[in-house]
Amino acid sequence: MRKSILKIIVAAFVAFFLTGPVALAKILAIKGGTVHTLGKKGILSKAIILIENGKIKAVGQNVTIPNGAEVIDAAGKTIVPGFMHSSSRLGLSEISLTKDSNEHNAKKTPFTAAFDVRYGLKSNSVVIADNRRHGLTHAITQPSLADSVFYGSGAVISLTGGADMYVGKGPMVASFAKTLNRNVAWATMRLILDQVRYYDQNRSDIMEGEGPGDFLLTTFNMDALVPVIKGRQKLVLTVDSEDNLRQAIALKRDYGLDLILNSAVEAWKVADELAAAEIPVIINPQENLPEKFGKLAATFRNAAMLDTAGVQFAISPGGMAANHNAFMVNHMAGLAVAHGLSWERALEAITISPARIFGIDKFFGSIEKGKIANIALWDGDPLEVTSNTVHVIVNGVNHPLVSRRTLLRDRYLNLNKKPYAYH
Amino acid sequence: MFRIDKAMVVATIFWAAAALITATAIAAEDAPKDRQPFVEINKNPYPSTYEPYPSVTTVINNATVLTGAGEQLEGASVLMENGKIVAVGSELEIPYGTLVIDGTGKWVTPGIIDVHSHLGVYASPHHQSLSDGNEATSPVTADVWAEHSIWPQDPGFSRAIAGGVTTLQILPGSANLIGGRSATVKNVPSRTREGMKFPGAPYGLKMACGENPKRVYGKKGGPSTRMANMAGYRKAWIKARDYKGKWDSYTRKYQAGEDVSAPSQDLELDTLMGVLNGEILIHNHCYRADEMVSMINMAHEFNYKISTFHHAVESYKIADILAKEKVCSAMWSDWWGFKLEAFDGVDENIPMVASAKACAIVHSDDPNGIQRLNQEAAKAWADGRKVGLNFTRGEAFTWLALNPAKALGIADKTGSLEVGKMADVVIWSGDPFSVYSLAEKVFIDGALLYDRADPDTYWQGDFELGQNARGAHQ
Repeated sequence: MRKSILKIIVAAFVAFFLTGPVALAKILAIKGGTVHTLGKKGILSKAIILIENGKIKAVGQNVTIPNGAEVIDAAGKTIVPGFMHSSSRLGLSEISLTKDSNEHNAKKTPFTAAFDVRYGLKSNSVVIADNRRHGLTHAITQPSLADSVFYGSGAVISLTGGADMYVGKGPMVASFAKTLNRNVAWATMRLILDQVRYYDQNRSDIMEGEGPGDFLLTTFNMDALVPVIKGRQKLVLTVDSEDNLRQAIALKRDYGLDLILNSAVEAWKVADELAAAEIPVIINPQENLPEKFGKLAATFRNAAMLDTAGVQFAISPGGMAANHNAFMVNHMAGLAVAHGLSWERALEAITISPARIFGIDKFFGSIEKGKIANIALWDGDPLEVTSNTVHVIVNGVNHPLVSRRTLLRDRYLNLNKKPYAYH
Repeated sequence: MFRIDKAMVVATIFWAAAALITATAIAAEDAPKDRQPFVEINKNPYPSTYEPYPSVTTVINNATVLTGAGEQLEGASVLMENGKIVAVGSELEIPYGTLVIDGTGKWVTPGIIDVHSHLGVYASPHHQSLSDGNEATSPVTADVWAEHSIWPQDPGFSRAIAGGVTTLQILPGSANLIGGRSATVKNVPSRTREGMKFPGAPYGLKMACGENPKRVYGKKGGPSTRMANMAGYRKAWIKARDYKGKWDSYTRKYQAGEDVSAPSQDLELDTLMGVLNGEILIHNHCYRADEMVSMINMAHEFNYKISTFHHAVESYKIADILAKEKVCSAMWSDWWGFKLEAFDGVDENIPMVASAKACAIVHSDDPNGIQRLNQEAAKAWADGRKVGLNFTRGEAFTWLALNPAKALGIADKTGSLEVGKMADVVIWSGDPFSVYSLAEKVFIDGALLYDRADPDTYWQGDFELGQNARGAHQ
C-alpha cells in the first residue's frame, strides 16, 4: 500500500503542478512563534519555515528568508502540523439527511469491497472549507455502509477545496452491522478472505468456469480484496468489545493482514495483546457510556491506558464529528489529556501518529523538510477549547479563514449596516 | 440583562395556590346542599418525593468563584448550610464545626443545568427496549409525560454528574408536533422517577418545528409540509381553548352556586390547557429563524408564552426579536449541517444571542455532550471574543446555570450561588472554560454527591453492577 500510495501521490502532484495555480514558484515563510515540528527537531522557538511548491522547503532557526517571499509573522503563535481525521466522511456528504449530497453509502448496490469513494468526492465543499479554517488539513474519508462486512476503499484527501484534494487510495473499510450475530460476522469475514485467497490463486480456472460457483462476494468485489489479503492495502475494521478485539488479533495472525482497528472502545482491556500484535487503533476519547453490550467497559482513560501499554493509536471522533464537526479532533485530544494522556502524545495522536498508521508519514503529519505543507498557526494551545487558528496552510496555500458559516455570521453581525441580503 | 418572567412566577406559585383557591371559593358560596361534588383535575398526581441527601455545613475557602449571576470573585468562600447557600464572599463568619475545603487554585460555580436531555428516556444501552422518548404514533401526543419513560438506572446520570450537572430537563423526542410533557429532575441516584423530580418545578411541554414531524408523518397521513405543521399546532390550540373554556365556565358556574356537571377529562387537553393557563412552559425544538417567528406569532394568537427554543441554530438571525419577546434559546456551541434546517449553524450563535440581550443557554441533547457543557460554553465564549463579543467568564457562565434555571421556571431556587438558593455547587480543578479542568466535587442541596477523589462517592446503577468497576468510565 505504501508504494501504491506513493506512486499515486507523485502522479497527483505532477498533475497538480502541470495544471494548478501559477504562483507556485512563490515562497511562503512563517517567521517566529513556537513550532511543534512533531519531527526530529522537536519544538523550535523563533524558527523559520519556508514553503515552496506546496512542500516544506526548510525548517529551522538558521534559515534565511529569501527576497520576495510572502512572510507570515507568527510571533506569539503556536505552530503545529495540520490536524488529520482518521475516519471521516469529508467530501462525501454536504448535509447528512439529504438524498443528493451523500456519496458514502453503497447499500442496495452491487458494490461492497469494490466500492471506492474516490469518484464521488466533492472538492468545493462547504464542509471541507469550514473544517479547514478550524485547523484540519487532511483526512481519511471512507464509506459508511454496504451490503457486506466489507464497505469498500476510502481515500486519503487533503482539504484543499480544489481538484487536487484526492491524494491517494485509502484503506479497505470493514464493519459488522449492529444486529449481526458475532459468530456469523467472523465466519463471514474469514470465509470471504479464504475465498479471495483461493480466487486469487485459481483465477484463470475460475474465469473459465472450473471453480466453485458459490463465492460470498462477486468476482469484482473479490478483486478489490486481493491487495488486502496480500497485505498491500490496509484494512480498517471497526470493533469494540474485548472479545471482538481478540478475534481481530487472531484474524491478523491467521491472514497476515495489515490491520488497523477502529473505535476499539474496550481496547484498554487487551492493550498488551494489541501492542504485542503491533495493531494500531483509532479511538474516540469521548466514549464512556455502555451504549451497547460491546461497549460496556467504555472509559475516558482508553487513550491513556493504550499509551502506557505501548499501543500505537490515533484520536478521531465519530458521529457528528466525522464530517461537519471533524475539526473536533483537537477537542477530543484535549479530553484525553484531561483523563491522563500526555499533551505531547495527544498532539501526536492527531498529527504524526495517524500519518504513520496509514502509511502516509512521508507526506503528512510533521513539519519537516520535504513534507506537504499542511500547517496551522494557533493563537494558543491548539488542544484547548478556547484557542483558534490564525492561519491554515494546505498544500502550501495560505487559505483565508472563511467559510459559508463565517459569511453567515458576518452578515448577521452587521445587520444594522445593511439589510441582511445585501451583505 | 436578565428577565423576571411573569408566566414562570405564576407557574411556580400555582401549585401551592391552586387547591387553596378552589377550596375557599366553594366554601364561600351559598350552594344547594345536594348538588354534585366539585370536580377538580389533580394537576400533580405524581408528586416529587425527592429529599436532599444528608449534608454537613461546608465552606469552600479561597477559590475563584463564578457566582452564576455574572460575577467572578477571587479568593472567595462559599458557605453551605442545611442544603442552602448561606454566604458567598470573603471573610465570612464560619460556624463552629464547619467542614472546611481548601479551594486554593480551584474554581467554584453553580451546578450546571441542562435544559435538553433525553437521559432516562433514551438510556444506555441503546436498545429498542429502552427507546422510550418518542411516541411517534400520532403528531400530537400532548397526553404523554416523559417522566413515565424515565429509567432512573440510566448509566448516563452518573456520567453527567462527573461533568458537573446537577439539574436537567428530560424531554420527549422531536418526532411530534406536540410531543408531551417534560420533567425537570435533580441529578441524584434514585430508585424511582419521583425521587428525582425537582420539587416545585413546573412541567414543560415539548413541541417541534420543521423537518422531524414532516419526516416522521409525511407518509403516515401528515403533516408532510411546514404549513401543515402550523395547521396541526393551531388545531390543537383551538381544541385546548375550547376545553379551557368549558372548565372555566364549569368552575365559574359551580362557584356561583349552580349544580353543573364537570366536563369529561382529556389528558391531552389537560396539558395544553396548562400551557394556556401559564402553568406549563413551552420548550420548542425549532432550528430556523422564520419558523421560530411563526411559533411566536402563534403563541400570541392563542395567548400563551414560549419559554425556550431548543437547538435554535438560527437564533442569531433574529436575536433582537427573541430579546423583545423574552424567549430563551438553548443551543449547541458548534453543531451544524446534519440536516438542511441545521445548515446555517454558526460557531458564534450563543454569544450573538447573548449580545442582543436575549436569553442564551448551552444545551446538550446528547449523553456525551452533557458531560462537558462547560467546554461547549467555552468554545462559544472564545468564538464570540474573536469577533468582538467580549463576555467575561462570569457572564458566560449564566448560559450554563442561571439562564437554564429561568427557562425551567426554577431560577428562584437554583442556578446561581446566591444566598437562600439550593446549594447546587461544583468545585472544578481549574478554570471551567478549559478542556483540562474536571469537576472534582459536586454538591446537590449541600450534599456531596460526587467526589473525584473518593471512590465511595462514585455511583453505579443496577445495570452496570457486576459488569464494570465503579467509576471505571472516568
